[in-house]
Amino acid sequence: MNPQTPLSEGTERLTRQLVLQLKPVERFKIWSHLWPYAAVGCAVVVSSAFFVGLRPGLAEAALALPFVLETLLLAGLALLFGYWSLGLGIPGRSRSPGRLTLLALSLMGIWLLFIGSRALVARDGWFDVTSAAYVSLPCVFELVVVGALPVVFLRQRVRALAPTAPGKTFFLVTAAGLFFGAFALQLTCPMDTSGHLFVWHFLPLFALAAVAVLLGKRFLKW
Amino acid sequence: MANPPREISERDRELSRLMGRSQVGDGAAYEVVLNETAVMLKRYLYRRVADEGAREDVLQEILLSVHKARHTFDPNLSYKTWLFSIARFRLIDYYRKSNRQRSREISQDSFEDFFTQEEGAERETDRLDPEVLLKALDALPPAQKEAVDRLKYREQSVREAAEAMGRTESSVKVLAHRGYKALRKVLLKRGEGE
Repeated sequence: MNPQTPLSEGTERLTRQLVLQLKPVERFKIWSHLWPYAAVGCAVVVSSAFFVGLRPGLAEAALALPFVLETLLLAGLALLFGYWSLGLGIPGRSRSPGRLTLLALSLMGIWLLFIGSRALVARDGWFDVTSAAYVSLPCVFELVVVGALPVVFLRQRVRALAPTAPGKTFFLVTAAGLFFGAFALQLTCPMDTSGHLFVWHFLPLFALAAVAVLLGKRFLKW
Repeated sequence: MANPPREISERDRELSRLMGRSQVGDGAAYEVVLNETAVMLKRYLYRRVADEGAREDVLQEILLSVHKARHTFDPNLSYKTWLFSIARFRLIDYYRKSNRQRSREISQDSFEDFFTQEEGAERETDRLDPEVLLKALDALPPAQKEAVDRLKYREQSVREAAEAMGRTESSVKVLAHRGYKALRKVLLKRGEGE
């Protein structure tokens, strides 16, 4: 098949069929999909606070600026990752997502700083994390349960697009949803030590998101 | 985050405009876009897919993907960038699939070599008793037996055998390979026994 030769019979037939099947479509806009996702995420966080109960001393903690900033940061990360994954659903849109990557990495770095700063300020233990596993495991459970609905919702939205990097996109989708889980934990988890936050909030989130890279092709097939 | 708008050619801009009109249901605009897209893809795939049939399949697969994903196109951006992102994605998909398939398949030549070697060895020792061979054939699972029978004794091609058996060509090759292997084992055992 020389590139100069006319199109094959099959291709011409297909082209004609596609033209006949043409229907008007609603042009995709990221924001119109991001807000419903944000609403679902916030609804799940509120429900989780209602069912699990707010952490003791939340009223005092909410007056401290670092706590407020950290909470806003988690909500912001959930939205940023959601926005990014929806953007990856549009072919050719994010060819050089350097600024987004830098922003996301910086925000995650800031979250780590927030976690680490507790160790410096309160001199809490980094090493009591394994002995407290039985009290810490519910955090992972809550992270997954709260994050699941936003992940499923966002995955449906992204799958209806055309993600050309499914592994990376599903990583972002999973991380975005789980950030809502981390947001909920911020309001409900009574443990505030650096070790606990790092091992039972931060690591599970990224471990699950890393697993999602492998599942992307299956879950975001289009 | 969207790419900063870059210089796009006049034709690209025109295609973006036509695709924008297709999104609201303009069939004539869509026909122009698809025909031009098919020509561009043909050129794109020419050096990337060696097999002509496969190239045609990939081209049609990409056209279907373009149709399916048309709601994601933003007429303010380059049509070609959007199109070739989809094309590259489908092409990588095709490479992956064909690599996977190739790694699972055993070529017909290697079957022939295997059987010829086996026949050669048998001729050398002159121990190939038809009764023993028939017994060994009977001991094979029915599908393997049929595959060996069709390919080796009725001298059908893999495609003919696959059609007759209602299976894929790869499946027939695999069945025949397993059959040959089992036969070889039986015959070698017999040879050692004597």
